[in-house]
Amino acid sequence: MNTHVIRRLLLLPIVIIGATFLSFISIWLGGDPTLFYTSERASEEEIERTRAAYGFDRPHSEQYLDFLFKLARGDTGTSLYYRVPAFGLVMERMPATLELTFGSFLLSTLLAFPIGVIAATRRGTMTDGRLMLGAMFGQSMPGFWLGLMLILFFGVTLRWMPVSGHVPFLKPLLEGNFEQAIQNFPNALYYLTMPVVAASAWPLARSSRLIRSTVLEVLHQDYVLTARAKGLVERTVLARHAIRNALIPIVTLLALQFGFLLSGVIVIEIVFSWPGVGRLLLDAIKNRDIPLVQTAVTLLAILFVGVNLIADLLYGALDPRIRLE
Amino acid sequence: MTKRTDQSPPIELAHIPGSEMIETRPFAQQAISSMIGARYPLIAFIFLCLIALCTLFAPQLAPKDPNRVEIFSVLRPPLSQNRQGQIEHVLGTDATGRDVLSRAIYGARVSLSVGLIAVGLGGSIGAVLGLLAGYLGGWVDTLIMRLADIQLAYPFILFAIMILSVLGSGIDKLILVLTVGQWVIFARLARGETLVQREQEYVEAVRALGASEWRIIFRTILPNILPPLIVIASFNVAGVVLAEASLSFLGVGVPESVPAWGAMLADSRNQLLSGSWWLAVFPGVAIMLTVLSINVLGDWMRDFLDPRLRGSGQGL
Repeated sequence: MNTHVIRRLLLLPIVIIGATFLSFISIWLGGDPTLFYTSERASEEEIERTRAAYGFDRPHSEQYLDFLFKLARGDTGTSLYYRVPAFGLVMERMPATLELTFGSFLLSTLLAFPIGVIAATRRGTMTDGRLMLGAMFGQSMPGFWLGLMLILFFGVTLRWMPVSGHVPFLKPLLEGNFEQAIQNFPNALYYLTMPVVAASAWPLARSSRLIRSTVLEVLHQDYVLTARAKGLVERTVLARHAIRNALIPIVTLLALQFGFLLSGVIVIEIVFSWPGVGRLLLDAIKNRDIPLVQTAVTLLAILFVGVNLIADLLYGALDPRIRLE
Repeated sequence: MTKRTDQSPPIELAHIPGSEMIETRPFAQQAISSMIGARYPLIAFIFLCLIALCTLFAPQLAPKDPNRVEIFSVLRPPLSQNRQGQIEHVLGTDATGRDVLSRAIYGARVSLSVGLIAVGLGGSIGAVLGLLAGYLGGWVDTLIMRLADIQLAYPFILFAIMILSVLGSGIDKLILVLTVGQWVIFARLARGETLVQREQEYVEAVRALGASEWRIIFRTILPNILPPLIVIASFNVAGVVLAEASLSFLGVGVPESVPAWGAMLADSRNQLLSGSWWLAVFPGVAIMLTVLSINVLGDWMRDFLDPRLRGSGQGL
């Protein structure tokens, strides 16, 4: 178990190096970034001066190693475009991304549970068929398209919901400004609703299917048969014997899902002009803002690896029988 | 022929209890009758055939040139009539007067070809790497699987966005990036299956016959691990179609001149507030029905090819 955690943690620096190295070379493959920071009519001399000022004249290997050494000391550099520390820029946007990710995770999990369990206990009935057909649809629908449809229907046609905009909730909460957070909450929820629904469709569909198949598997176990043979009412059999045992794989699967959610959220941010890290990163790539790209990539990697680590730990904690190598 | 010595009647296959369960029909015949028996897979199959026809005969099927700009018929709603009272654009036109139906028909080309090629290439590479990792073990196994770990430890779409937005859009680049995204899942599955098959007696038997390692890996083990790989491949085509749509939606997928469903949805964003619903609805429905059909067919294929995977949630 401990070696597994250590191995996961050892993976983190490798992932960060891999991800930042890839973004570094891909930005350079796209051409000299200096040209993005000089005017079109700049003279050779001016371009040369800008190149030296940004350090782009140094060998690529030196630039990248310099970045790594600074990162190891906790210095992520200054954004070339915004001219402020890159770390602050990303962290400022992180709460908005997390709101969307956590919101979608909560919504999809809370709904997937009853859907999966009901479908499993009524296997083969029309209820099961309809629920699973719905899940199939949800899994086949691009989240960003659902977002567009929600905007079209609830935003443009009915004018019930806002088509874009964001009220911070997590940020004041993290800063310790509880009063502000509570005050913002209703509005934050209002603006959060449509993006969260759009980002939840796919994970909801997937989780419902996974929960259904896990519960079905458990229902075929001998101990469920024993519980029934003892004459327990079906509800007790389900709640005390079946679902309790199905929880272990389900929780793990859900935690692993969190990582996938993060990828989907980045696209949803674009649809709703959500001020999160995904949009910041896309803009930074367009501006060839190397320090900002590297910082965003690094922090997202830490988040992603961290969530997967928690999933692993949960797996071991929930079921002592599982020994992680 | 030797003469029968005992007087007992010849055993008839039909009399063995349970022998009626043994399928004796050819594989293709079994597949066809199984599909016709299940309603949804048949509908999905027919729909995918229609989409395939669109990709093959787009120039013949599309009523207009998908890139022809008609500045006098901009943002026409579906089924709107021109001055002569004819319906010129069945699904309407976009902000530059291009025919939505024609663009949607051409868009099938990008989605289906990118999906099939990326999964075909990535799946083959991944399967071979997984086979080698599982069969050879040792440092080959460690190297390949650690590489897979590293790739899985980062959201793939971020990589794709980064590489494509810098290298520029293009179908070849899109296929390349999505292929890279595919190999891991196949490698992991192939490795796991190979580890199981490697210890089976039939492999031992082939080895005892003096077969080369190469032959054992590709002629003996590979055919036996194919069914689960094919099932995962079908689900992954659906995933790649969605990923392609997302990337094209973000403007990093296909170039401007190529009609693609995701890119059409990106264009529709600017017209959404003016109520031009048809621009957002039709390409999205096309994506959804295509992916849905692939998923339904994948489900059926899983049950048909490999009942062990049923309900395991693999691939979905």
